Amino acid sequence: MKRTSQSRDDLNASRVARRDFLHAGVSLAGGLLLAGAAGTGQAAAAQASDLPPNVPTWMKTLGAGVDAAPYGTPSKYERDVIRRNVPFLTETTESSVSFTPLQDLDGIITPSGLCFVRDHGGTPTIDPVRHRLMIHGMVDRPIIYTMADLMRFPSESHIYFLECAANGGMDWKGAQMQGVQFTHGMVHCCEWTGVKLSVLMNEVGVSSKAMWMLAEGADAAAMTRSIPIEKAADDVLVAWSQNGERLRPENGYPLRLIVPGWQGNMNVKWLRRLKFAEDPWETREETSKYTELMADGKALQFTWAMQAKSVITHPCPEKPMPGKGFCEVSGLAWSGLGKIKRVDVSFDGGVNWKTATLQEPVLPKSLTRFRIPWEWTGEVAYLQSRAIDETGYVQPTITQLRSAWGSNAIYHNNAIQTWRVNANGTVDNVEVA
Amino acid sequence: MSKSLNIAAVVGVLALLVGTTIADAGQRYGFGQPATTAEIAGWDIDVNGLTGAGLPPGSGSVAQGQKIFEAKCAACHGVFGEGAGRYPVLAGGQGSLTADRPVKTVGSYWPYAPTLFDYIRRAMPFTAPQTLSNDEVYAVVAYILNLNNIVPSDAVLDAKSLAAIKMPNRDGFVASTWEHDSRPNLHTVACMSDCKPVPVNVISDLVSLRVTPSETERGNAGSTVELETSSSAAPPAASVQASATKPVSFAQVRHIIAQRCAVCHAEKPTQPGFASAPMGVMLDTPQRIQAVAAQIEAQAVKSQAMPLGNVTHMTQQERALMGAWIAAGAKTE
Repeated sequence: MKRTSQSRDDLNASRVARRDFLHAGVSLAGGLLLAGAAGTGQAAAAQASDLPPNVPTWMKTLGAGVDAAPYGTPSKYERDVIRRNVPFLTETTESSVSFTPLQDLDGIITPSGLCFVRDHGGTPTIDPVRHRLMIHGMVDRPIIYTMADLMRFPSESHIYFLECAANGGMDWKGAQMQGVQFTHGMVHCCEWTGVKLSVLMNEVGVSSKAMWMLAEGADAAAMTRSIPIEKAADDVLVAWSQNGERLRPENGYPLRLIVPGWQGNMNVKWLRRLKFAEDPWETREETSKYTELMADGKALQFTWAMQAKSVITHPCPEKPMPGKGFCEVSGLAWSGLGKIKRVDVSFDGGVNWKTATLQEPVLPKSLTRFRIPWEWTGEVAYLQSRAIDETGYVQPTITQLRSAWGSNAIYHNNAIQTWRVNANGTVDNVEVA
Repeated sequence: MSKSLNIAAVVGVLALLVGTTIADAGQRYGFGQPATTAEIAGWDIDVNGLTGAGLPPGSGSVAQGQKIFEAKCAACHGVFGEGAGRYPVLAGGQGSLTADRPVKTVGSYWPYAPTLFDYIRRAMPFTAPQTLSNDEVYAVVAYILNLNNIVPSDAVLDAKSLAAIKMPNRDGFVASTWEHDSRPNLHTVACMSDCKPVPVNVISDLVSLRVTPSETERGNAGSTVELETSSSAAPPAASVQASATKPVSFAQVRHIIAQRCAVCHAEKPTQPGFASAPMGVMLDTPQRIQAVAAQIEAQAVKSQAMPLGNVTHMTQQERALMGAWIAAGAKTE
């Protein structure tokens, strides 16, 4: 989307405000509660001798050699940018989840090492030479593939988000988690490379009577999900790469299914078996779990697509306001049904809305970055974002969602998030009517 | 899923997708090796929940299942399927699906009995999956169904009888299909201005909750989510109190102590590093537990010094339950 929402006057106003903020910054800084404070901590720790007019110490000695880090890692000053989990959520960490630090990320690509992890029986250590993919069931030619076999096929690369169906689950009954990492961090977005499943379906000769495919993982949970043949033949990838390198173990090494836009749970990691049949398997993961219990006691099943959703990642509870004046409000939007068409942002809890600018590229079933300039006067404000996808679906409020779903659904909470910016600059997770 | 799917369309898509490299769908790259019948048999462990297709030969009784369950399952799921800590509750909860806090178990929620066989065979016991024989899986399935009053105590299950069982919540699901999404249509519209009265009304504010990991080291005051592993969410502090005021059976307390305390506090501790019971405190019989109820209250309920470093992961709810049992007189009946 072009920057149509921002007129020249808006831009001029932003520049003026930016200048005012720079002037005001010094006096404000002391009065603001700056909890996010990687920057503040570093500034406090900095030796005055490294600051102008002095030449910093790191310019007076040689740095590390090019062989110091054959596989590079982030700067030690970024050590707080990590996945985190919620210990009280699960009894063990092997069947549990860690969350993507959305508050620390820019753009749309999630670094592989920060992608949220949802395991059901721990992360297996798999030797790719000994890994096999078996395809059988209602096929003409059951085949076993090695990794080397699979990588001979024509490959494709696509950028897709992947979201756990339970993302936001902790906030179904009310605001609970004080941080975007925990309210929305069960989503990531990577460039995936692999062979289209449709190519493999042609190889084995799937029967015209086969309506469903079972995908099974090679983990201690041997996790399985049923996938309808229409989706399997559409855009599903059998992937071995993530962001240009081989999958990380916790994200499915050496092989995983990518089922674009659908529940993360269906994107079976450590993929070892695909079986075709007439009926869905009704596995534990698609009956007792990943189904949504409604207020009337009935449950929705096979709610595959992740519907349009968005969240402001700056500011957020982990990234409070740096001061009055100009603030670039930024966030992420996504839809499992296609491209994001528009994102609106409200600063008054949903009374009035402005359309944000979408950062290119805007890709189907991918995270989309949005931004909008804001002049913060220091008053309490209620920030919200609302995504609209190319099907016309409008992201609902939590009240709308609850009125239709009840509050025991656990999965598929795609409600509009409200961040309250307090007068002291801190940011809280709240719900507004 | 419609059985009258337009297969021609799917085949057409396939042909189109590979068409740039291979002229028509009849041609193939031919990589990989044919899977032999024996190779397939070793990996083909799935059972169809709806039809029971794939259920293997063999059988098991409720009585056999109880023994296996107590030895290999009860440490996490409780002797009666009541669940320990955050591990899944397997039994009970029937009629609770419309409650404020539904208890979703095999008996109250699972729609298909063969799914239980499929899941246990592939994924349980949690730390030793795919180690039970088919007979043992049938037996454990029978025991869990018996705990839920779905089969009688003398039941023996095999492929045919398991597939014939109609689960209580069999008709509790509304499935979407490729063509139709069963989710409620919210009819949301994107209003742009004066969309509601000002000022906005804050209906939920978590400032006092303090359960986020960055705010508290071990939050356990209140979760409303259920992840896959925990079939009932940690209740808010208030309901912990409420549940603690209900009568607590000694069986519940004994089960907590067996898991959380008696690994050390027993005649023969199973916890590595302990040759004998620390301080001579043994919690392996009802009489011994009752005799030190006051110490249990002081150490595990109030000061929470025990278990040491909470190495056995005693939960706040369990502490509250033991406190309630002691407050009610620490009875062993």
